[in-house]
Amino acid sequence: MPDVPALRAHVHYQLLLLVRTPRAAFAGLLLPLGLLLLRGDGHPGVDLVAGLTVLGALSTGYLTHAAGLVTARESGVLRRWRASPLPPWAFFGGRMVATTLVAVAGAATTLAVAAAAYHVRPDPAGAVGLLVAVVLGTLCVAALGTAATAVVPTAESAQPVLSLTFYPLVLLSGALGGTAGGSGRLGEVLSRLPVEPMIDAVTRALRPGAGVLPPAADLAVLAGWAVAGVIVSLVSFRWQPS
Amino acid sequence: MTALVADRLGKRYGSTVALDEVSFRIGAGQLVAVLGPNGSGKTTLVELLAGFSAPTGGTVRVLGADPRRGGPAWRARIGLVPQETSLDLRLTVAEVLRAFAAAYPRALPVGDVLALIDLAAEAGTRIGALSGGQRRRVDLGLGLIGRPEVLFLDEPTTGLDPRARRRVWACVRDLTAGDTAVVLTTHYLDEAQQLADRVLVLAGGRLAADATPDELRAHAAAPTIRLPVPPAAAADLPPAFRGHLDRDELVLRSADVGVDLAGLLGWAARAGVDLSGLQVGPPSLEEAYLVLTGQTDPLRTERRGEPSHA
Repeated sequence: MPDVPALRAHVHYQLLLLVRTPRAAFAGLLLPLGLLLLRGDGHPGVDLVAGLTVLGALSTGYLTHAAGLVTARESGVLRRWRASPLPPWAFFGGRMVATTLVAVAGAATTLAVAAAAYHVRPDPAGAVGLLVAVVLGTLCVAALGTAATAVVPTAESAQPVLSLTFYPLVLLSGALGGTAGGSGRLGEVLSRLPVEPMIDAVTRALRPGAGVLPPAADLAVLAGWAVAGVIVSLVSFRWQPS
Repeated sequence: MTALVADRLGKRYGSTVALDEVSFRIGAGQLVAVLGPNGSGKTTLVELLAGFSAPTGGTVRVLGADPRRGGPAWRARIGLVPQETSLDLRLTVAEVLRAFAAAYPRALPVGDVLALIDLAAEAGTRIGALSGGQRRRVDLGLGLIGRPEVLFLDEPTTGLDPRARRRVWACVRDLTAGDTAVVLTTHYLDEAQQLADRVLVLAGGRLAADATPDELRAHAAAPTIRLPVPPAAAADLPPAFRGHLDRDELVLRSADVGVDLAGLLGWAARAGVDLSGLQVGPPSLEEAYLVLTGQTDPLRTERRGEPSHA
């Protein structure tokens, strides 16, 4: 059994990998910041700040995490870890913690810029809810990203496949401010998928008078998808290229 | 102590037989080379021994356990250097070694591993900036960082230059000075000759031989007579020998050394050929290997129909 130092070392290892991944910096930080500055127009709404914060965090949690796993699988790195005494739960635990830390750091940077430039900032209670939403949302999509690697055969195909399952959903769910679904059938569907509830939770956390915890309905959707992602991953995850 | 036992081990992929009833035992501290042409089952064998693949027949026990069911405690006693380099190129050598060292309960100090793989000066260098040989040595370092009792080396020197190969050999020798059992698959006969206590030869998925390198050479092929022949004298070689010229050297695998040597010495005396380069000895490991694996030996196919030659 690995002890706490082994897990801490693995978190450190995964953090080093993430911060040295150009894709992580672009999708998790530069893209939301760039869009914030481009679309802010001097007075960005809370919706836009929340949407872009979520866009950055989920890019790290889903795109960067899943593409990194596929690359590691193809290059034999996953197989090497599988041959080591580090148990799978510790491998994924370290990777999830590192991914979440990077996602939270990216979200914090986006929010700091929004606060400094546009005076959009949460109350102290809202900040806690914000942290809960970003952490839970990131873990949720990381679990789904892990599950998605089962249908991504190669590193070359990772970006198109993952992007196709990510950008339409985040854009329809309101990553650029305001959902496309409204109250119709599409809106109903989007509210049951993981992105829209996360944006909703972050938006509420940024508004004055927000509670400490995000709405229970949003948390339930995120938790449900996280559990589904973990179950599918347990059944279908591959440590070796097919 | 027996480290590893394979008993009628088999692996099929559909109708293709990759490994067919292979049996052997490897003791602690032994270095066993697995030789065989491409597709002979070498990598399949390592996959089964390391627990990456399940056999379709027979059994395998490594350190007393079924590799497919070996948990973290078992994996802590196993080292693996896969056939292809598998490293995170964005990390430094020391960062990767430290990360893996933390996963093993009795890991070697990272500094010791760096010294062993001769990369102390490159500890802070990103792996992506290393040469192929240096990366391969990092692979080797990761294989041995947990002080393995069984180490699988799957073609560890393929693609390396001679100097890098010798460095890897030195690492492996240091390792086997202890009780580590090593299974080494390789295409290089000289590597097996240099390192192995025993050689398993696979051919078509079956075990064609299990012997020491010297035993293989002695039993698998006939003795060899070698004599440098000046171009001017080559035309005067007796017909029985002429077909055995390989550039400027006569290489004759002989079924009766006395008869062949007598004929050769008589011709050399008449032709005034210098005999100082004459060698008579057992066949090379390569020659034995070619015989065992049923592969065509160009020296043999070009020379047929002469007396006494193997």
